[in-house]
Amino acid sequence: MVSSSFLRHCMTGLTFTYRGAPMCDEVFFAVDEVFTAGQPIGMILAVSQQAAAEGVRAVKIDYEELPAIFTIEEAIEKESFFNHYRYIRRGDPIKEALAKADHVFSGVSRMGGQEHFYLETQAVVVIPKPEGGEIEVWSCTQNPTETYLLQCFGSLGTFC
Amino acid sequence: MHILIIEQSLYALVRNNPEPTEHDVEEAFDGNLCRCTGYRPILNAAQTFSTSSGSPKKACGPSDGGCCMQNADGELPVGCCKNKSKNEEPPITKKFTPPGFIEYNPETELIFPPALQKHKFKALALGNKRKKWLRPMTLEQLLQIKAALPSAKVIGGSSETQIEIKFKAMQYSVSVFVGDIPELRGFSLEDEYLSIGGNITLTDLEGVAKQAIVKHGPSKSQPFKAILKQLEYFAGRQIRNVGTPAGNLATASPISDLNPVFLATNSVIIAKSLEGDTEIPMNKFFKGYRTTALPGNSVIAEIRVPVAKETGEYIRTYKQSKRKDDDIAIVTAALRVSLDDEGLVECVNLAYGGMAPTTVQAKNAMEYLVGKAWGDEEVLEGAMNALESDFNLSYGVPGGMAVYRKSLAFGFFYRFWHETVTELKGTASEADDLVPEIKRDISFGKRDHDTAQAYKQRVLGQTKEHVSAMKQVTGEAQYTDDIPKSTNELIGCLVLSTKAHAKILSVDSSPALEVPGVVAYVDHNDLPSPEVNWW
Repeated sequence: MVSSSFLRHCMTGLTFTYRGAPMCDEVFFAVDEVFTAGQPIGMILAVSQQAAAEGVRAVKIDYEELPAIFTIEEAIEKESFFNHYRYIRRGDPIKEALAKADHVFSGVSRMGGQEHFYLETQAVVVIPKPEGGEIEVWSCTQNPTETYLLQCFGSLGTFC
Repeated sequence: MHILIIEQSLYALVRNNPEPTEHDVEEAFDGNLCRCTGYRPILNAAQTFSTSSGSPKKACGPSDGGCCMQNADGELPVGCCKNKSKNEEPPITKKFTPPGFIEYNPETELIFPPALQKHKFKALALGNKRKKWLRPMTLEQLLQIKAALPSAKVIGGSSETQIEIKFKAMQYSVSVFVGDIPELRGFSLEDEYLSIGGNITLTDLEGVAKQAIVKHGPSKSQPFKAILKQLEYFAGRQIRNVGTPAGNLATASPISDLNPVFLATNSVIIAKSLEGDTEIPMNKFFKGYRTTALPGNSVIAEIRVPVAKETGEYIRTYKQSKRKDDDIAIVTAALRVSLDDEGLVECVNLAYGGMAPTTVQAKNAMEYLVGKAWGDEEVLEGAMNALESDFNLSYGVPGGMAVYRKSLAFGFFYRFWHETVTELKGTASEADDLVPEIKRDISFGKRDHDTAQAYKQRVLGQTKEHVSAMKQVTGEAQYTDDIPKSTNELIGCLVLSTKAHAKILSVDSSPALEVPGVVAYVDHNDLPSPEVNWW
């Protein structure tokens, strides 16, 4: 789901052309509202992975639950749409074409397609360097360009 | 999974059995999932060690790609895995020059270190205030520990407990490893039953079941065949090497593949404590979700699985999971029926896993079936109706998939019915083609070098190796986790929302900061400006 305030910030901000796919509408750390289970809120830093995992479980968060949308039907009903789609238009407008068609079939089609789910565990090593705020990033990514941009904007560097 | 772990599986296979069959080779990788190189080249390489497809194989260098067994003149020898298909692959041009591989000879293996072979196991106690480990070496020691510390967590293979620790954050301050107690790992083949030690590994249990099948012949050994069949698809080899029957029972996993067999065969559990032995029949053992009738001061010492009748008794098992190998069941069942001379049901057990918070029996269907004529169409109809009342899963049932799980439970009974009726009457039924287990053949695959030929350009249409492929398959590649720790390095772990949509009212990180080893909590407030939080 889209947080409109952030969207607005992004649209007007300098960074609009650089950041976030497909649209700059997400935050690294939730600010006052979460939009999905599993959204990052913060990060525990510890001397070992075990201690960090234990620390994460100890953080207490109070929520006020808000209505959530779980199905496409609900989303349509509540007009919760992404506003960054593109149209491909060729020939007659759909309505006119259908009106002229000899046969019109109607029904519902469902697709199981979804964004790639990364099965493997993810890890990144970030090593701050003494020279001019330089940082070295070892990242298991298929998107080195964005990893590089993150460094440029210092988002990773802030909590190293 | 890391290629090195796959190589370890292969090494363990060849070390234990220098002449594995193709099936042995494939089974050795049951528990290995691979994401980086693909199974085909791994299995092709591993199959060069198998013997079933022909003469002893030579491990040699794939100097020009293609098959590792290729002769200098490019002829594939008889028995090569690639000879299965007549469409031989054209040689691949590779820049990689392999080192001169040495023929594998089991004789040259390092011997098992004699010092370790002579090692005398002794009882151990180690740990600190937070976490203690005990390892008794005799049953007596274990019972004393259980009497003194009834809450101590008994650990066999830990395949279930580790999941609890990792995903449910369970804390066990005292753990007792029982896998080295010889008295709990034995077995004996009796005339009326098979006795197995609670902590026999599932791999060893496979061997024991095979012995019991030989001893008791085809009819009476049906319970052991059922055990063997369930073990075939019970996790992977690595898990079967450590998992135990007592672990299945004590953790009362509702989708254990083994517990339905114990339940359907009316097995008996012998629990021991310092006060003496208790016999617990299987149908009294499971009390509720993850709870059992095992007293706190007792351990599961022995399980007695009775043999079947010589005639008129039928036992079958079924399992459906998302993937055939190495997967947890959605529904699993062990079904048993015993008929009198007239073909009427004397007693019946329909034990299911995955249908309730514990392994359960379909009591209504069992009650209905007693005294009815097995093979009568009306009885089948009636049994199905009774099953419907046994398994009336609601849509909100834990684990979900209510309709699918019901269909599986009914489907298993339907298969059991037709399988046994066919055997009983010696006639074919309309469901014959639905009954047999679908088994996967030995995997095979080939690379397609032709399709892209027509589009071949300087770069496009060429077969290109992944840039780090050689490093990955030789185990040379370094992963993030392999990077040595830097000074002052900290590990970050994300705190994630547990709600689908919610306002965050407050975040209190102070309890986390009291956990030993935790250094800091960061969130959006720690960023230099709100802008860098945008993504």
